[in-house]
Amino acid sequence: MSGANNDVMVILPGVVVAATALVVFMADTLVGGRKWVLPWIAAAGLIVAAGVATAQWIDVGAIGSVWDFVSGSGSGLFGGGTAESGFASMVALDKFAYYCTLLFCVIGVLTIMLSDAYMKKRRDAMGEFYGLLLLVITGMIGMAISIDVIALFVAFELMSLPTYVLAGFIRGDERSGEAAIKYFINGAFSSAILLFGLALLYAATGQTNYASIAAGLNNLGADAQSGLVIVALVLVAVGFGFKIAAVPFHWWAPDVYEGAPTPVTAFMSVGIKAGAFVGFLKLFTVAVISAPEVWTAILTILAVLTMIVGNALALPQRNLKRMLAYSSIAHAGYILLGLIAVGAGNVSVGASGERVLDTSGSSAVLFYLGAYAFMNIGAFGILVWIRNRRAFRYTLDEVAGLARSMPWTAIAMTLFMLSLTGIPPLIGFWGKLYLFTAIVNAGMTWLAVLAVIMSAVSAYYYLRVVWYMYFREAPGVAPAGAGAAEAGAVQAGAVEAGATVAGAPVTVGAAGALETGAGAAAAEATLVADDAGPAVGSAAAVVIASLGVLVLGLYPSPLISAAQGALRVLLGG
Amino acid sequence: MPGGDFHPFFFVVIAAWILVCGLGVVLFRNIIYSAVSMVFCFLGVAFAYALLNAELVAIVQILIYVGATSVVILFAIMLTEVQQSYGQLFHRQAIFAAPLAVAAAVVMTVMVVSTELADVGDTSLNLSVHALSSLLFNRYVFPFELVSLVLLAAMIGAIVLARRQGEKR
Repeated sequence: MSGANNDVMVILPGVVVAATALVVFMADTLVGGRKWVLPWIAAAGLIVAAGVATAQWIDVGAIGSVWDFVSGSGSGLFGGGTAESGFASMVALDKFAYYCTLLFCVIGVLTIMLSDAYMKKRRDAMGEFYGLLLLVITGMIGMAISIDVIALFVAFELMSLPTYVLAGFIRGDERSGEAAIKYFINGAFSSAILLFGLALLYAATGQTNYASIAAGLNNLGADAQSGLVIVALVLVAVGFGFKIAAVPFHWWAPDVYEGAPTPVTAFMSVGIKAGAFVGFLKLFTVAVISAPEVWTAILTILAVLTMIVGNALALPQRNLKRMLAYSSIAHAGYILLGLIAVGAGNVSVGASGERVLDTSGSSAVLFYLGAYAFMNIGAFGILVWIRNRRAFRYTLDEVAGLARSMPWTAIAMTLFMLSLTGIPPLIGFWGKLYLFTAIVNAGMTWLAVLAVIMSAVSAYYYLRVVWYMYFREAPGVAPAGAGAAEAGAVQAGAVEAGATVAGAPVTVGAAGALETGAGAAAAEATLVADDAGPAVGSAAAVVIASLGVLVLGLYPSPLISAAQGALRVLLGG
Repeated sequence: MPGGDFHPFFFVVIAAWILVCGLGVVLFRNIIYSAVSMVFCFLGVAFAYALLNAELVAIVQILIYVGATSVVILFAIMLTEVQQSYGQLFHRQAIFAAPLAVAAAVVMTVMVVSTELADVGDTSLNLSVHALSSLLFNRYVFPFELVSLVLLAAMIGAIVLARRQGEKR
């Protein structure tokens, strides 16, 4: 295998996802009224892609010739990288790509399940919704496999463009429209800035391939600190900073997260963030490895601001969607610590003279992205589920007394909140532990201290939700019926056109609740804001997410070893 | 001069043209004027390509941007019947934004100019259509195919957003 290797096997998982998107678009016109098959097709495509990636992942370890490349007997990604990369060194087949592909497929399947409650009311738009979602995931996989800035940028666009549409999917709703426009304009800016940065990087080195850029920067020597490279790296960091909602590029996030449909919000806060971080990680660890000082300085500023501002702004939020939006900003700050650890970590010189970085930072990032996917999709899933079962406008007051009315939901939500805080033995604890250990090992203890303090701050707003659910009564059990009916009417009228049925069942439910005296428990059974009945898929997504948080929290070693194994290839050692 | 063989004077003229037209896009109060000065801005960029000996890119730039994109933008302006002029050109934020933008521009210019750029050598940008297409379908086939997916997503997304509420197929 030499030169241009256009073997489609190299990009097979991505091809499967893209093909599934096309099948969904086509099937949408063919299935007539049987729209329910569309999510199944989409999920099946993602599962097949995940299976392909897993099979290839195992292969990478087993096949000798490939292993030679992987184990660094070749020059790894820092050499020409022709043996293992495909499409004229545009994409690379490595464990890093497989780990990310698997992660994206899991996020995709969870999102499809989560959107059950939401799409039941919009059957005529199912084809577009799931098709566009699959295209976003194709773009995310593209980010993970690209080793050329041109491919990276196109994948970045493929990841971004359908997301603008998904954010504005509730048409006729002002907030959703606002979310789409805000996200689109900010996204267009960030794409342009990123492209400008990549162009300057090309101007400085004359290369577009990651490995060649690294070599080019190496050749520059002391000039790698020059103005041009600094400007280029700042612009690239700004471009990515917008996508991961790092402070000070976070202004769009709360409004967009609040306005977008909740399943899309869950996907954006986890999927888009993971895609952007993965692209960021690969570009920086492979291409900009020769200028770690500049990059570490930029990222340290971003991380400090992001952790402090994200957590501080989450404190006063009483809308749960906005609270999770700000907390998602804060989590981007924690993840940035892993990237800093890569740059600040010990650089050793490998056997063939290439620079080998400490991998603990980047594997911590990969692990955290996986952990964060489960707990954040779970938290948003709870919101979707409550909304599916009764009138709900995502405010803190409405979850008061949830422990009594929906005990299992409250337990699951507690699990996610504790995990997001970082309490052992849940998965969020391990994620933070690895990130903070990595940054301490990199010799920047003060950052770890700051992150721990900020985690303690975050406990206030996470645990407040738990406090409301368990220790606050629902606002007046007797008038609850009337209040809820009012809320239901407001919701039906103003928030979503599909929920017009709320009024009648709610009043019936209120009367029943008053008579039986069973309070909120009875109200829950009858307070159905949805005409389509319980969304089994959304509930299943929550169950899977809580199992993930709990089981992987008690037994995290598979995910840890996967995250560590993924990095061996990326760093060529 | 790499690429083309031209006097720097021509480049200065064209760069000034692009800048003036670009400012026009931002500063005109009438949106139609803005759109027309964007057309001229695109034209200036096409001239810059031509100077660099990239005739094909210059022609494509004229065909797609000056031709198609501008017409679509003008159509969109006319069809949506936006108001002919803005009441207020600048938002209050301009007080903070303008100095920041100017400062950023100055810093970037100084940093870029102060750096000695790598020599690109004698490679001419003058590619034949044949060479360009073979590049597109060999070296750049992966991004090329990704772009087709981006376009598909853009088309479907536009339909989703433009379809009227509750409209059934």
